Amino acid sequence: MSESEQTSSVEQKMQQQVLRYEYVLEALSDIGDELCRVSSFDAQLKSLLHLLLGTLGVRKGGIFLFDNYNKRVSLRCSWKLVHKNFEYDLPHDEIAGLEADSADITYRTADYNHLRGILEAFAEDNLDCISILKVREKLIGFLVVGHKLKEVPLTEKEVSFLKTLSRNISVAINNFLLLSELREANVRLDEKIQEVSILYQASQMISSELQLQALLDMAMSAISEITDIERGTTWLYEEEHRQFNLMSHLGDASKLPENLSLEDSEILQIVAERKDTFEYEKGKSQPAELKRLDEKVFGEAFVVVPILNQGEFLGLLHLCATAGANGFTSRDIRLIKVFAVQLGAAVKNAQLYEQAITDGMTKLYLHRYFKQRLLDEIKRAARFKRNLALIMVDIDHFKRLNDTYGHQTGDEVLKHVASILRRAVRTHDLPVRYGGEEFALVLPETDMTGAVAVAERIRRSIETDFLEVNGVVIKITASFGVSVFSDCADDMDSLIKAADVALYWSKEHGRNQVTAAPAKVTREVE
Amino acid sequence: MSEEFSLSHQVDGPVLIIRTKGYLNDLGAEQVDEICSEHLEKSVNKIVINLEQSPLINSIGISILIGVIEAIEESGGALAFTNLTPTNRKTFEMMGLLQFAEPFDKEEEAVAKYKG
Repeated sequence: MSESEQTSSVEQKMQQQVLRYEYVLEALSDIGDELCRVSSFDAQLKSLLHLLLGTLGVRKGGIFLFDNYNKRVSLRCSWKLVHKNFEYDLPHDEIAGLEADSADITYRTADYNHLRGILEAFAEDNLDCISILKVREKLIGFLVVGHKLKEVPLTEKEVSFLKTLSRNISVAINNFLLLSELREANVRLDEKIQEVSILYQASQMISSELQLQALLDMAMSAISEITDIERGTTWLYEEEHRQFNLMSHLGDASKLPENLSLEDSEILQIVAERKDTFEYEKGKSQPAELKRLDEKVFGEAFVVVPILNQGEFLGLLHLCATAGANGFTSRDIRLIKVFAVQLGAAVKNAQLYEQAITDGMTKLYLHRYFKQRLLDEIKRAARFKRNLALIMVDIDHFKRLNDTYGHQTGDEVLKHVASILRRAVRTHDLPVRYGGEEFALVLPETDMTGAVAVAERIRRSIETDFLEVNGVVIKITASFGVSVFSDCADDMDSLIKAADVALYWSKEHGRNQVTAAPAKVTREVE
Repeated sequence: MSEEFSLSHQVDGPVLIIRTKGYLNDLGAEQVDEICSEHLEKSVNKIVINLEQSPLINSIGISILIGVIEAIEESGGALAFTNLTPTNRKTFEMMGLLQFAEPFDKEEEAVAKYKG
């Protein structure tokens, strides 16, 4: 061989070497690219493995990952290996050995003393090398590679490439794992934000509502926004009678009583005593068996959340999860509890407001509130060109009743008539204690015929429902005057005046009767 | 990063012809391995891979082609690469692929040789 030929042969070898290094560098940059790709972890692992095998010119290989939680390695990705799935519990001393031995990470499998159990399971693959994957002494896993074509082993240079590539793969996997943790944390954060916004909306909805009934109806529908419920009820506690009154419900309510006495219900006793959320599932919770009444009202699986305001027990929410949902999640319960805190404040507000506008004895609205509402209702009736009826009621010979039976009996009479009035009205009607023994009823969207019919029905109820006080049966009757906007009057004062005049007419003409106020035209003619 | 990898194949007598399209650096390239295995099972063991439309082949592509070479070797068949770019040819040579597979300039030349 001539000198020049020799030089060119060396040059060629050098060029080959450079090409090989270039190729390895390319693989390293591809690993970097792979890291930036938005793909699944398994797809990334597969790419990393192929990059490694193709760079070394090796036919087969696999990546095992170590799960530090249960101290187990599993084959996460493989190419042409005998096993596609493989799991192995790593003993403690083995883990310690792998983590401590930091000087070198790549070995010929034949000379390697660790992980023999695994390497023997893959004996058929005639593996050439193994690389331990770790980042800062933390074991991530390891990878194995087979021989090149024709079972040719890797050269020393290639083993050194394998080491470099393995280091990079360790970092790539570690980054991916960190990223997944970050993503999970992000998802949790998103959930929190969503929860807060649901609660915010729900609280907004209830915080400005002062009508108890409407408030608890809203609460029920707000909860159905927060979580899936099949059935639910709200109950408010009435200290005086030691009973719970049904305020609102969702789902089938046909079997529900209007109120439940504390004495009769074990569930109510538990909640009132603990003042804490209570999950019940038949067979799993105490008491093992529910009383029939409790089971009828609450069901076999439910959650009860107290409605509290500054420690005061106001009532409770009762909810049944959608069938098949397997109860409520802890997130559901947490949200409902937070919501119940808001609800507690709103209920207290509404109760205070109601106290301020109602008469304590008769539970009817006060005169002051009546004026304000009547004005609003007249405005609405005028705007929408609807009727609005006003009935004035006066108990006949009330003074005589008082004088004969005493003030206490007089109060009983007032309560008795008030309860008849309360029962007679629809949701939007307004029963009022106008003053002394005088009552009023505001009936939106009602004409003279309808209003007279309502008045007549109430008159008959008062006449026939007897009241017994201390063994004495007291006969009560009342007189009625009815006026209608805008047939009889154009403003509030004249509407009240017209009903009053009609009532006076009833009194003057024998009492215990209903008189309709004349229409404006008739009056003008008169 | 790259256009989606795809391939088409046809059987011409005893020869399976595979024409790849797109960079052979994607996991889509595993399809080459699958199609070869399928045909080797049916004793079609002369394979021509036309790489004209795959100008860029990185180590992912190489690892898959190594798998194909091994399978053909085992079945006693023959493999040809055609329409290689100069860069790809250098890479194949360096990785020793051309010891097991013949390079041809044109697909027809390889097919003609295997059919003859």
